[in-house]
Amino acid sequence: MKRNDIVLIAILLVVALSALFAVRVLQDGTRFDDGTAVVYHKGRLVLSIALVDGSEELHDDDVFVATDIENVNELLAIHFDGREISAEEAGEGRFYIVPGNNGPVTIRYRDHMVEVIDETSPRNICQHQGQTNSPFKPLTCLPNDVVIRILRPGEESDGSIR
Amino acid sequence: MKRDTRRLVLLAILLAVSIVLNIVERLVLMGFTGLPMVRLGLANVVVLILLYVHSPKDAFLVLILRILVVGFLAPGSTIITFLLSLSGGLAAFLAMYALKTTGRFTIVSVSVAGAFFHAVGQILMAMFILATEEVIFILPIFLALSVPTGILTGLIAKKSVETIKEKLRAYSHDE
Repeated sequence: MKRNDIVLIAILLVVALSALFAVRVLQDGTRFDDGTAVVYHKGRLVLSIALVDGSEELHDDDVFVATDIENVNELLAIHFDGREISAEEAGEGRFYIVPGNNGPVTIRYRDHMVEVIDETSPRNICQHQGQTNSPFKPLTCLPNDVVIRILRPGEESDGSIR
Repeated sequence: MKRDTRRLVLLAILLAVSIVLNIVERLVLMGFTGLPMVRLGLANVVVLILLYVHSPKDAFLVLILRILVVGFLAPGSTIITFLLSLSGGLAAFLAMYALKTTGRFTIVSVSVAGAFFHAVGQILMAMFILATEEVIFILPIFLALSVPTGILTGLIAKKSVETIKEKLRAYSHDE
């Protein structure tokens, strides 16, 4: 490799790692246990979850709430062609099933945070994003066109983002 | 074989290879790494080969055809995944073409820049599709992953270009 190559790769690496570090600091510094997680499908608000206690507000008839994994699997069997999630994958918490473009997107609330635990997409990026209660860490299930944003306490949600 | 026919045959073979690499990579790497979000971008090796062995025009043609074919045929493809591939592919191509034109960089760093801007192109498109600017906060993780994956695909492309040039030289000599 030439010197130019090493300089270019080093610059790109520094930019990437600096951005990664900055975003981590930003996310860690802005966690809201009393914020609200708002879930959009196709740009339309379908669900709001109060992070303080997991209580929800449903804005769409196709969104379902479950208190344990057996309940989740019952709902998936009835409304989403029998898809199943194992108890190990699901863990403990309160669950919400939201319709996505490729099928159901299952969200778990636990410890004042939300997380996507199951969805259908080529890369499963939102499942790998982990838990969030930071406005700077939205969960984006792109092929499903589902976005979970975190609102600060007192912040109002938009009914539609498009 | 006539020059045009030879070009067409080579483009057809490389297009087929890039489509297979793209689809296989989705299936194999998921099981191999346990992290499906990590993708090497092996199909980009073909674009790099064409940039260095043939012409930017051929590289661009194969890139667009591969995105179209995979967009229609690959399991789980939707209009959204198609638009993401297109935006990522175009951004990567522009970056690689610009750097190659300067003549100051080898194929490895050109590949890294391609992977880097592929991530940038995809996230910009995601922001547009979802109308959510916070999507930008996912970008750093993809940028960080783009450097090692770009180096790896660059090294594969380098070896492939050397081999192909050698074979083409031997073929021309025999003719």
